[in-house]
Amino acid sequence: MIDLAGVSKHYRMGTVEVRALDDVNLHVSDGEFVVVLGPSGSGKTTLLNIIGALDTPTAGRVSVGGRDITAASRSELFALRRQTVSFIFQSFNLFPGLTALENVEFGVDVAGKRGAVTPDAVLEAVGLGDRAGHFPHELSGGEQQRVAIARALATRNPVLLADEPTGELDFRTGAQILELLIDQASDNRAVLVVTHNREISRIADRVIEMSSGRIVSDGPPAGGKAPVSELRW
Amino acid sequence: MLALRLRWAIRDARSRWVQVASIALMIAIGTGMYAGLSSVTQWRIASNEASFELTNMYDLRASLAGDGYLPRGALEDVALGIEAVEAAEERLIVETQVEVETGDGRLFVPGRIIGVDLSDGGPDVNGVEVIEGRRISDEEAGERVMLLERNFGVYYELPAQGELRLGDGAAAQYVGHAVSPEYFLVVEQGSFFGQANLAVLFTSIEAAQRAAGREGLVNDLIMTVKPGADLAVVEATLLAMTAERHSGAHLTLTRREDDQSYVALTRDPEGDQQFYNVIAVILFGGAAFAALNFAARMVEAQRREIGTSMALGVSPLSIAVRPLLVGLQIGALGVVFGIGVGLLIAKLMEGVLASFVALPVFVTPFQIGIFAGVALVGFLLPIAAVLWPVLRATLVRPVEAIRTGHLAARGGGLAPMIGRLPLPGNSLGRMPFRNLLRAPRRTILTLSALTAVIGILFSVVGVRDSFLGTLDAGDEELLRGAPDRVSAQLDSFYSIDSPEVSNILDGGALRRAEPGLTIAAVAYSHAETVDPRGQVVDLQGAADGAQFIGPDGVTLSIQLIDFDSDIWRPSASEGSLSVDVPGIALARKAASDLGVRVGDEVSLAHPLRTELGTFTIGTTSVPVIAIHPHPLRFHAYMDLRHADIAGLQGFANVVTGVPADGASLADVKRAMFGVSGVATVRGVSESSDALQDAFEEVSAVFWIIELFVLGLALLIAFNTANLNADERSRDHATMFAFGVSVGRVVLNLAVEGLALGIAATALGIALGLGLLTWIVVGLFPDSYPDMGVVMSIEWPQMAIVLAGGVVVVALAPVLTVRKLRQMNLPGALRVLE
Repeated sequence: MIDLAGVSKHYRMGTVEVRALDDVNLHVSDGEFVVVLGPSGSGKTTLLNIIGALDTPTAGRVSVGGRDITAASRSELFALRRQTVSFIFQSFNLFPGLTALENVEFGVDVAGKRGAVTPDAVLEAVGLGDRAGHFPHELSGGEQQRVAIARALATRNPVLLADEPTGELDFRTGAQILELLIDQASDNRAVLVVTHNREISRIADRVIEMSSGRIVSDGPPAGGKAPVSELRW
Repeated sequence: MLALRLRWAIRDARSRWVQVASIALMIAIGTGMYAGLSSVTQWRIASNEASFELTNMYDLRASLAGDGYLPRGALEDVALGIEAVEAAEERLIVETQVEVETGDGRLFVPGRIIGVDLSDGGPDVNGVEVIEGRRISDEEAGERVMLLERNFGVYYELPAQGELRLGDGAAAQYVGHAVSPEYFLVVEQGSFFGQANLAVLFTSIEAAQRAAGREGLVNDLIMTVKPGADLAVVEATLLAMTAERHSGAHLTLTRREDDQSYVALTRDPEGDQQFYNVIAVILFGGAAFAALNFAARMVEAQRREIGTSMALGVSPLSIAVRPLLVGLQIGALGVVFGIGVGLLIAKLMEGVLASFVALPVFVTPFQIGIFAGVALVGFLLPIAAVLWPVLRATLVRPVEAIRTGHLAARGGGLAPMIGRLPLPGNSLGRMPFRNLLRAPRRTILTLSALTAVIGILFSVVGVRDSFLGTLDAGDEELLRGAPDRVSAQLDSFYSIDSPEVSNILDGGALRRAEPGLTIAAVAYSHAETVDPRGQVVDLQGAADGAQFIGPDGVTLSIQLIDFDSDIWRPSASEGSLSVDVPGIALARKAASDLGVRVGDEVSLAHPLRTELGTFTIGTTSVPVIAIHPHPLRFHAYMDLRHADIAGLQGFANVVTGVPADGASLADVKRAMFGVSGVATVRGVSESSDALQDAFEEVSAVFWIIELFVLGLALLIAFNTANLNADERSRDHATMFAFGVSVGRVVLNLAVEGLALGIAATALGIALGLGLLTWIVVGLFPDSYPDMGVVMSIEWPQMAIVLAGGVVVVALAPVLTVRKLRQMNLPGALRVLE
């Protein structure tokens, strides 16, 4: 589903050359729940942005959903984001002028899945059927993030990219969100979660650790995959 | 600390210089327009006074009535014998016809030769100022060398020097364009902008005498009196001394304040000013709303930084310094730009003034006092605007101010109230409307500004439409049936059997020609006392209202025509054109001003021919038999059968007909050029054409207002779009992350602008209609008493103008495409506010 070969992202900040990604090779299959770990500045968000076609590499080749996006045009990148990848953000990025249901409808509309996906059902699936008519500022943080997940799920896109999805949430709410994400991987989606919270890596199928723009380890979590109920932070 | 704040504020201004400059420009348009439009009256008064002073306009004019002439020096001797008279100038004024080559072919127009003493830089009273070309030299006195009145020259785009032919058939040279106070504004037959139909020529008194065949004679005297002199005493003395020394000479006296040009120039300047003031206030209000809104939004963007400062223990006063400095920069720049806009408007208005009034001096000084007042408001406005968000930010607890993420989410304004209402389209389609409702205060302020702008646009275009519609209505009435008809005005009253009338009737130039009469009169409502100033006047030859200005009455030019004519007769909006009883058909404006309706009686003070053939003033009561639709108040009609009320049964001073088959108006004019008894020949549409042309010139002021109003609309739209793009950068980034194209985001912004524009247009039309009604119904009767301006709106044209405004607002987001395309997506997505 996701293939990166020799991907680098270098840029200059003043006189200093920053290597955000340095010769990264990666393959993620359908149904995999992958957690990317690393300290600030390790390159994990850059990796996510490049996979999500929000950013372009300076070297290497990136393929998502069978499409080589390295040489894709601007409009092809927009199309990829509509049809292949979906984002979940740390600060949710819900549209404040739209209700919870309308935010989910947004996902359906941009993916062109009207008729194929019922927004109410998706909202119901994340446990917010009774909050459909509420605006984001009327919802709690956990509820907002669940709406954001519902919005991403409503696209039915095969790749789900989550950047610190529990970063703003308390433990209990965070755990609920992680359950939802695991469910998506079970639904044969490739789910990539970027976090600096090492505890979350315990529930992943695979943990990728990054440092200074490089993948320094890649494999199943030490001690094996744990259920969400065993997490503590 | 202050130095840091200053550096910081300068950086703020530098990073947002486009917004700072565009908000300042909005304030500048508001203040500059306010200062400019509020100064119009001062400019007019100052220009008039300077021009009247430069040319030393007369205080009193004495004209020998009819064919009266006196030897040169006789009148001047009488005048200078009066202690209170300071200066006196004799003139010979001769009606003639003028033929001149214009860019559109040969032109035949009524002319007036004004012979004056040009020696030693004269004349000393009613000076003749050369605007273009050269003066007539002393050596040229007596030669057919003339100066062309400036308004006429400009109207027909004549060069400063050239040749023309006078009514006697001989050629004359003109060597320049000149102005003189009686013709700063050419008022003929009670109507402004008479320059199309009157060529005034200034020349030496000797040349005028030769052209008229009146060697050594004069017929006019103009005087200035010493300061403090009692003009009534001067008038009485002049009349008495003239009667004593020159029995049989009848003088018609005119004071400066009764001079038609002077009256037209100086009457009710405040009336016009009220119109400009309202436009200025609303425009400034619109600019103020917008500036307030945008400046506040700029500071609101610093909300988190303000919270951080609070968390670090910085005092609210110190926190306010940085936003205040931004407000200060906007205010200061607004004042500087405002001076520029004010000066530009002064220059443009000078051009407008010059286009319809030929003054030798235009004084349009920048009105420091007016500007200073409004500039102070303009300066304080952005400062006040930034205080509100600063106050709001400092009133919340620091923990709330610095809070990020979902907890910092702001209320939804009106959005929750309508959240469950069905809106058209999908989620993307609903977004623009939800965004508008989410921040009601912001939306209302932007809407108010746009409403003010569109309201002004509507009223200004409406005023123009109303004027043109009114003139069109006049055309429609006059041109109905026989649009090519021609009137030959005679130079006196002639028996209809006289050779002068017969020559025209049977001359072949006209077919279906009919004799008629035009007499001046003053109408009073029946209850009023008829008091035409108690002057002894001789009205021989009076064809217009010049000699008849009643203090309380309505001046009329009564046309006595055959109500059964098959050439033309007025239509009756009310009543009917009965020929059985002597009755008068009045314009609606005249009837309204007199407070009469069909069936009521009016008293007319009019010329009355005596058995001796001289004229005196008679008064007659006649019923109003009809109201006709012509908007000009002075148009009044009676049936020719009732000419006996003026003792003019069997007389005519006008012949009306249609050109002979195949003949044009020019052919008729050429055929009658120099014909004995013919003073002027005019096509019926010429006066209104001239009025329309002149109005087009005057309406340049509307174009100036529209130009600045549209500029303001563009700035409001641009700032709205620009700030929206900044404030919603995270929303837009999220949309991009979901694959929504830049075009679609811009489309959404455009829809939002369109919705705002449509709402503002609807409100603006309501405001504009209110304004227009007030202007036309409340202001114009005083400002333009001679014209019954009817409110009319050319909706197709109006729709184009308004649509232009809406399109400007809707398309403004296109200007943000570059900003959107260059957005740092990952950065914008991770903004935690």
